[in-house]
Amino acid sequence: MPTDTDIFESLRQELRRGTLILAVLAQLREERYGYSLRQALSGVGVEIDEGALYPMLRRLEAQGLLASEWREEDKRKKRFYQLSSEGRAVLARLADEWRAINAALEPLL
Amino acid sequence: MSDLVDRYLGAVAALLPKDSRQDIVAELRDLIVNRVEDLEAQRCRPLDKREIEELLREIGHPIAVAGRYGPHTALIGPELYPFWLFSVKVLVIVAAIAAAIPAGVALLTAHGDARLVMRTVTDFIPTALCLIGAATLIGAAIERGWINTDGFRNWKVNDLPRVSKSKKRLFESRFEGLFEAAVTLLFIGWWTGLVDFPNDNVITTRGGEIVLSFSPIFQTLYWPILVMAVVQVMSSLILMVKPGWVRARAGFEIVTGLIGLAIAAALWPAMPLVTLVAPEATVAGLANLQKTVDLSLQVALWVAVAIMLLKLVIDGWRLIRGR
Repeated sequence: MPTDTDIFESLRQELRRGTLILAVLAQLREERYGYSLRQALSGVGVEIDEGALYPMLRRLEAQGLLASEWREEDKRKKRFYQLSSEGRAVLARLADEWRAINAALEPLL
Repeated sequence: MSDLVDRYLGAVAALLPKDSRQDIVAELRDLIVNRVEDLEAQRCRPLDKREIEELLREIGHPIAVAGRYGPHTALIGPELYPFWLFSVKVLVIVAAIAAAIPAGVALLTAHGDARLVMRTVTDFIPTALCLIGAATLIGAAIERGWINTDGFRNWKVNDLPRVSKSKKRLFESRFEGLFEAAVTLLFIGWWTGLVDFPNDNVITTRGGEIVLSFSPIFQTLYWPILVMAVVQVMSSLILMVKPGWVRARAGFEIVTGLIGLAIAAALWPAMPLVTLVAPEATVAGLANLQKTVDLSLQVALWVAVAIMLLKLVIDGWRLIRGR
């Protein structure tokens, strides 16, 4: 039998799942590699598990929303990601959607 | 550090697709090195073996990590799951009926031979597991788009069964279809020799064994009887899966009825349909029993013809009205 905490945690994760993509796309207006992206997100209060972040980056790249390249930094090769032009357009539309949902829900809450 | 990390990354790499393996592993290595460097900076010392192991455990089991890069994470996805579950329930009921009928026959003919009865009952488990496995394989193929289900997606409300005044009736009609299909499939299995019934032509009585010998007319009518059974199965499947297809069901029932009438017409002049041989019985006793069996079969044939004629009228009406 799931406890109230389990139920809350499951609903919370479901609620966050879609918003994480929005946060990742927004942070990648600026070029970053995986670990620095995670730190940047953490810095603004969005925690994301690496296990979810790295496959998500690959999926978004496969969908054409991100572009990536391997480059050397601090004497180590890193894969840098940034929004593609298509990614910028999708982010703008998703951001509008987010604001509309927020505006609709705020009076209800 | 490098030994543990290499082993970990080696285990992940072994599970990744070849074309993206090197790329993913290089990125994971960078992530791990960054995490190690951060922790070492916080603690002002190199991490020991136990701490590195703890960090790798936190990142995740190699199977879980590699699995997240795959195109699919679920064998049967949430959209398909209710359909898969429904199929599994139907198949388990089919397997139960298919096991129960031979068990019942064995119980009646084997005079309590427990092993025979148990064998048919335990047949249920492998049959059910095989059917569930087949449903899962088909589900996984649909989930991956290997089987086109566009036709199924374009379902029509009109195909759904009419709402009966009692919900019980709706359940009964689907169950009726399921039962009909299972029994007829079992008959087809027996008729074609695929299902082996215990002692199917020998009846053991207190007075000795009676061997049943079937008329050669049954061999002549092998194909018409098989075709009738197959058409009946199709009709039952319609009732079970698409109860709203009243006209289609009525059409199949009419074809079954017409074939049935033709078979009955062929059987009547071929009486006796069953000849009894009982070496341990008296001549008079056996003749009396044969007479009773012949009369019973004649009555049964007349009743069957009457039922088929009545059903033809009802199904003809359903075919015209569509309900």
